[in-house]
Amino acid sequence: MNKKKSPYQTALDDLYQYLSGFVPLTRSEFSQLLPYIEIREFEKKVKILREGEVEAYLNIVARGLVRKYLPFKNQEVIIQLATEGHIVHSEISFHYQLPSESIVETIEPTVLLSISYDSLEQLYERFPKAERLGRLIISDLFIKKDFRYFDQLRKSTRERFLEYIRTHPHMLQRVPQKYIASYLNIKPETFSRLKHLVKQQ
Amino acid sequence: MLDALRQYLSRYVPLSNEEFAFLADKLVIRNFDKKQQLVNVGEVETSLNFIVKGLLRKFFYRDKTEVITQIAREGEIISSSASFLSGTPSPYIVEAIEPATVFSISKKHLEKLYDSSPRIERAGRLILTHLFLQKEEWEQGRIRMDTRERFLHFVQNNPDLLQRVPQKYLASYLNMKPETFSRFKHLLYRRPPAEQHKASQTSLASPASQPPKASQASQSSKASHVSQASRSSKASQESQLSRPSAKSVNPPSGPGKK
Repeated sequence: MNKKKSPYQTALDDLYQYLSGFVPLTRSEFSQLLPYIEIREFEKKVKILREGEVEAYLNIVARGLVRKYLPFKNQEVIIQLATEGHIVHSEISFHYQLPSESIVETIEPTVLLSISYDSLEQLYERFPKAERLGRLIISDLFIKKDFRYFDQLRKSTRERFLEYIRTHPHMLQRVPQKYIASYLNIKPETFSRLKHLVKQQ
Repeated sequence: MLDALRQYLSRYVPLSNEEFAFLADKLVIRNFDKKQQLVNVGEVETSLNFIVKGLLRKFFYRDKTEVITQIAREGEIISSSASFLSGTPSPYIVEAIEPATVFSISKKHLEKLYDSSPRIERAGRLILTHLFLQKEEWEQGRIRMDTRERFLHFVQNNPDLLQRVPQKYLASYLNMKPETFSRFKHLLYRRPPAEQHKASQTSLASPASQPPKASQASQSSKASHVSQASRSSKASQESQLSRPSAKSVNPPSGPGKK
């Protein structure tokens, strides 16, 4: 094989690492999963899922940047900014197979590793380790979500801002400021002001 | 007492008598007095608790103020779940509002169950998924509902808690001032005479007849994939009870969820 890996190979290697972090997985077991996974590519600013559509996929971002948002009163409220290695999809719509209230849209050109609802169900039936993998991944997502919500409740606007730019310095370069402000539930003006303050220091 | 737990689990995965007996064998019954804590801030949560009897709450302190994120009663799970799952110190306190009896299972025992029974592991995955989705619904509610909508949504889905839980707790849970809660409650109870006058503008009830997101959410709960194994009326009922929490402003979790 060529020394320089294709982006897909890199993405699959990353996926293997990700899954192995939850459950010991041999390369051959991993290869049994591959037929269930689709690679999907999107240009930037493309809606992967529209409001009212039923979410057919669970996606892991192999490359690129995706946002999930709720339309509300002519506004968009961002509930997730997903980069490489993150799972992004309309969870409620996917699991209940009902029309989605949220919209999933690319910010950058994006490559997704996707598994459809049906494929995932098949995996749970056929692949003995899937049950444990699924449980541990959902535990992990649960913990992260709980901490995020806890932070939203407990921390001040300023604290949320500072913490975010400390832990996600690259995002300020990659994502329009208004998106980050929306995600952090901070007014764009306030966000600008805080950013200036930090620069001056 | 075990029946309620069995029913709860059967909404996710029907377990055989042997499987359930195996699980029941790992449970501990714990009793708590009113105001007694199950877990405190900074402790690692060691138990997952299923409420057999009583009423409990989960909260944290923002400065000196208590912020309630869950109120749970019989048939529901309460625990500092993220701490339980991650093994990190709990940012929450779990405390009994009324004297309470719970079935508890330790992490060690739960892992044993998962190791020995794929179906119990599946139940675990599906319950977790359900709780995870409730957090998502909660966030959508936080974004889309205003104070009055939160109040109405909660009251419609939890009439029992309105009687049972101290008002200041409910106000905290719904992220509103106690005075605001009190005013809404007043309006609610005065509705019939109010209709005879011209108070319909102030009546809380009229907007309640058309809560768009609420109906969508209940739809989602009813058709819940999670409860497909036995889509009993109980399942949808329970999901409905849990929704308000998902919809209210501050609680990442609430009645019907942990």
